[in-house]
Amino acid sequence: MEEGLRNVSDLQLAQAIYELSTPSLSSKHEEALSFLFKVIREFNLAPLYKQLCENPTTSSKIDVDNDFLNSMISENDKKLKELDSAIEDAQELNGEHEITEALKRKADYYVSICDKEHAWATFTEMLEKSASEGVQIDILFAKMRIAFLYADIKLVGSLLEKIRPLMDQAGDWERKNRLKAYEGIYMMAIRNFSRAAELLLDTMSTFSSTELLPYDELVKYSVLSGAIALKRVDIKTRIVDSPEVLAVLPQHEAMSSVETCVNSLYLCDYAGFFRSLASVEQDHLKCDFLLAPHYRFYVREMRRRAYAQLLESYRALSIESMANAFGVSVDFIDRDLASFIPDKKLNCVIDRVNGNVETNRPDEKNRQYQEIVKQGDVLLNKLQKYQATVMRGAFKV
Amino acid sequence: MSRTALPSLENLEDDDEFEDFAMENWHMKDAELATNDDTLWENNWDDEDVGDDDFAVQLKAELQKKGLLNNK
Repeated sequence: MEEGLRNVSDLQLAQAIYELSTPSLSSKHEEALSFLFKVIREFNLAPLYKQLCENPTTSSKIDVDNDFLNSMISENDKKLKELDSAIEDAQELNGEHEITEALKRKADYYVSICDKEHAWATFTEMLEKSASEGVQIDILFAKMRIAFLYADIKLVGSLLEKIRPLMDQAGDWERKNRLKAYEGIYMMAIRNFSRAAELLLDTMSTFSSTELLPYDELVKYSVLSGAIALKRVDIKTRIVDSPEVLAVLPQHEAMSSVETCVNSLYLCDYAGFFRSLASVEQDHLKCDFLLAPHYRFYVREMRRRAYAQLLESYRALSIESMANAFGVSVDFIDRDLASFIPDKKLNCVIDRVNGNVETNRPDEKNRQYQEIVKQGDVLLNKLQKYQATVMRGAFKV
Repeated sequence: MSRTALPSLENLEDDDEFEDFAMENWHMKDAELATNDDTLWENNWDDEDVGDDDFAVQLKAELQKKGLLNNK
């Protein structure tokens, strides 16, 4: 990355802005504010500062300091003058490639200081100079960065729609990897954990998009997505035994609940699973700007997976032993299981008279047999009708 | 004896009973009434239990009931 450009990732900034603008996260406001100011000051992010001062969700937290703002603006202007004169030089030499490169450096600077309006205008200039697929793709990535930064997930979605056909035509290995990361994060943001898991786990070993988010965070999101989406056997190979995951999760005290959550589910330590799931809910889902809209769904679906996993091994077991396994009361298990049964999310029935949970997973062979008989009947019917038609036709004059 | 003409394909087409119903392909999204909440994902209301306490809160209550929480 060019010297002097912001080296703090877009998602980190977005996360801090989210914390600052969410009343229920008031305990995090001070730290978020000091983090934002540190980055703003170091890289002269005047446009971001302006946004925070004007946006009603954050403006109350900030005492607007116009001297501070103006000094940053003048730093920005100084830098832009340099970039503009480089563009003029390139224009004199009249090499399309050089002009595009010089424009790109200016666009990168605008992205760095979080200036959406001017970044967009510079992208338009670039496209006028060169409409090659490579340039178009890189512009779309840069736009996605700003969209993520300002938490505009919808915009990310529409940019992805534009980039996919271009990737098919002109995507090299590096750009394809970059797309996996960007698209994976987007999928997670729209609750498509299954697709997110595929993309994020796949990109872990070749990840280099630290402009978007730090590597450690990518690993964490990969694990969270995989834990809720993958089959048990894949959780083992792609998460529990993954060298990338093993290299990252244990290094971070803050991520220990995520690690414990996945491991305890895999090892069937259901009580440990519940306790760590509660921590994951509070520490990694509820306050995460991408996952907050999904935290209730996530936690409930994880509980369902755990119940389903346990019930896999039983035809029937007592509610009490199930409650003990999870470290909670009979009432809790009864209520929770009952909430899944009506929508057939769990294949069991509760026999309250005997205090048992009975699995009623349709016997797979039996189901297949019924299916064959049914299909055979349909086929026989058709054949009979066909025969009748043939016979009719044979006697027509 | 004249040879029996094989039934032409047209006869078969007359037989509606061979036609399967065309796959109904209307999308749920179009059928639903427009909501104010223009979200990008399916609102799994059933899976959200909006109104319930957070799981962490529920679990804490459970552990307290069992006397397993240490009061530090």
